[in-house]
Amino acid sequence: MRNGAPEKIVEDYLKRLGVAARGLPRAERRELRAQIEEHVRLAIGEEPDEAEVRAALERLGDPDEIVAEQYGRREARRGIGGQAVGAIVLLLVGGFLAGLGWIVGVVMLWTSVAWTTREKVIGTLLVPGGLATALYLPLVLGAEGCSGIVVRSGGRPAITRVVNHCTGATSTLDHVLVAGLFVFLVIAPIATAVFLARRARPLPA
Amino acid sequence: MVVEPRGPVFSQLRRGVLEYCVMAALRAGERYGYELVSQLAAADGLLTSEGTIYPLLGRLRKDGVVTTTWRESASGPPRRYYSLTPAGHATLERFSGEWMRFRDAVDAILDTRGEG
Repeated sequence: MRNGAPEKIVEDYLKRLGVAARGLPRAERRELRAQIEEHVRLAIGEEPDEAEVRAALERLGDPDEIVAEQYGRREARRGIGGQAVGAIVLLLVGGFLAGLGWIVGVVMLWTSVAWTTREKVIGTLLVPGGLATALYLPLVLGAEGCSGIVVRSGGRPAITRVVNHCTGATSTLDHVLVAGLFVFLVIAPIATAVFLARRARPLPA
Repeated sequence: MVVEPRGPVFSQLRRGVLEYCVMAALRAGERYGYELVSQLAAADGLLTSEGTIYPLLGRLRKDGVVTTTWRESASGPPRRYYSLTPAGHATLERFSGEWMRFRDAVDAILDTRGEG
């Protein structure tokens, strides 16, 4: 069975399926791949030629179509639970409630059954504090004012310089970095909220 | 309106009844995936692509109407066998009854065409 070209075609097909299924929870993705692989192995038999393999995969259908069906069948179920919605909202904007709302959001996230551990880790770390962190960024940077960075260059005795970085707009690079960080701190929590909303498992029927 | 075997009308109908056809194919006893899919594929016009049965089986299992068991096979690695749970049998019974009423109603309307 494990001969050159036909085997390669099967591997490519399963790889495409894996890529298409990337957005699914891991258990679902593995299950789907295992089922499809079992089907393919039985469909093509022991010594398939290339044409037989292509015909079998053709009947099986496009990996994207199969995965779309998996999504469709998930979404056909009832919506996600109140706790999941609450967790997403609080993780995003709870930080504005003196930071406490975000912490409540984290607790709701971790006690929810709507997500896998990996998804919960992403939800917690991107970005701690949610959108509020972006708001506090200028305050934090402004309060620090200029920060000295000690740069040591080689040689003995070591030559030590102190380079001052001021948020009061010394260089264009600083501006770009701060602006980039700000944009990241706004976009990342929103993207994470969208991610959690899409990954949330619906309530059991 | 365009009525074609692969058009929107029949794809909606197929989508609606496919899960019951899967359950019906399991009524007589357990089947492994390839066997089940081959049986459904043999029914004209029921399946557009064989692979989409697997997501459907996954959902039926979550809904508690189908269960999976692993079985050794005479040749090759163990296979997943699907079978209908008691809840599945009950659901299928209810659907069959409703389907016959629905089918008869549609047939009756379609057949009155020539008589009017």
